[in-house]
Amino acid sequence: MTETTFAQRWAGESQRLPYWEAGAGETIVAILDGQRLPTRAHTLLAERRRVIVFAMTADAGSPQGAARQVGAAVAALGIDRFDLIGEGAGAAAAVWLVLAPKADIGSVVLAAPDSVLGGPPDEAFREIKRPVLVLCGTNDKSDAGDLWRALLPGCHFMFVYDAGPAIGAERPEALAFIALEFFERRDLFLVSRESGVVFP
Amino acid sequence: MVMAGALSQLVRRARIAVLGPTLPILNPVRVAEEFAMLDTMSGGRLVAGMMRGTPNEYVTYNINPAESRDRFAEALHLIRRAWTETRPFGWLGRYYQYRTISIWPRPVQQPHPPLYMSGSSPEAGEFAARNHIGIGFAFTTVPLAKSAVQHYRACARDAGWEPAAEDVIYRAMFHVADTDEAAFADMSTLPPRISLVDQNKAIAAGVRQSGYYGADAVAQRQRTSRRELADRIELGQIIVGGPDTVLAQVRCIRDELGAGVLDLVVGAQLGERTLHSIELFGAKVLPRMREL
Repeated sequence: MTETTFAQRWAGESQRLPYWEAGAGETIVAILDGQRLPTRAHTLLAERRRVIVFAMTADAGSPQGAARQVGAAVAALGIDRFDLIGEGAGAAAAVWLVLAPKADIGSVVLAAPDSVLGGPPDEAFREIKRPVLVLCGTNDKSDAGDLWRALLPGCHFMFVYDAGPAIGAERPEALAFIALEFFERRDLFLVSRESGVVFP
Repeated sequence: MVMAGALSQLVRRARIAVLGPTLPILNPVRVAEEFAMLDTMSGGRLVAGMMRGTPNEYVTYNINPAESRDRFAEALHLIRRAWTETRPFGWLGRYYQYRTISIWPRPVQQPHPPLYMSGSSPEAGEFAARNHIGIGFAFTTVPLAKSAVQHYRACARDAGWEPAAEDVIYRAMFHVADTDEAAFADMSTLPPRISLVDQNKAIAAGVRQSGYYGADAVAQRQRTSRRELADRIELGQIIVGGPDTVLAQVRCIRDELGAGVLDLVVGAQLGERTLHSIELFGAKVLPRMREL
């Protein structure tokens, strides 16, 4: 099988917002902090879905600014509905994007979210109705997981064993597997559908 | 677990050590919950030992022994999380996957009961030291255990802590009689013990090939080599004799290893003589052990 490769492109009014795209099907938008590139987790996701990875740029100024940039770029690409992943500093931008009035987002995965929110905790965070899954690595020493669990009391929370702040690079199969499961089944992902049959 | 639960209702002051479940072949969430229940039933007196198991167990439960160390490590981390997290959480591991864990009850001891694991191999000693876990030795020899304890203490220093005597457990069989001669005579009547691994060489070969024994495979296999009774006594594998001799053997183990906990297993199933052995140990050895 040919490996899925991401093509780098540019979005935004001045074409200064970098993004990478691969795969086909229903869209997943991922927001990373500016230091990161697509990982093997995104490649695995792109084997099943269309994946667009945005890297936050310094000129966004804040997670809210990054959310506006990404929201505008997604709209410009003609994408009406998508699932969303926010990784590291991109997590706060992802949540701000969920709060945007025009966003039609299915469900949200926050992978190793940073504790930087881009402003004081917004009460609106607690009003988010979309299913949210927060993933934190067991080697991640930050307290961001607790922060996000408090900010999003209705979220699902999972530890990713043997991962630090770069889950997509350290445990790509795990991240891709659980993200796809969550996007497909939302809150029902809690109930296993895996067969226990050894030999039919 | 069942016996510990029964003991928790009979023994009112002593700590109760379960040493312990074979983690890689069990469901770690279940282990966490059962230990937490025991800690609750005993009012916070549980000591939790976590084991990797023996080769025959991997055969019986059809688990690949090559994965035993990694499964053990992940299960132990998961159990600690299950004991200490105050809110439900999921677990996306390499060997274990749970969507929501919320054990009931939580342990009485906070953050969790004292933890021990086998420290026989270098890999185990390093893991225990890195994760601030006590170590135990079962059916090994004092020279092998001494080397392993030194390695464990060195690794612990590297990790920034100093194990206490209570962080080292040494397990040995014992049999006490009124005289040395009577004790040796009792033990010499026992038929040789033949394990499943002894009987089926394919198990031993298959487990060895899997890498189960780790980097120090030769020493690991020496632990279970067959020996004559006199050699087993000399090497501290078994404690046999009259009360004075047994006390001297216990002192030797303590001095050689710095072990603060002795885990004694009945060495011979000899009916009345075994009961007498236990009584003698309680009456004539145990009180003097406190003075060591």
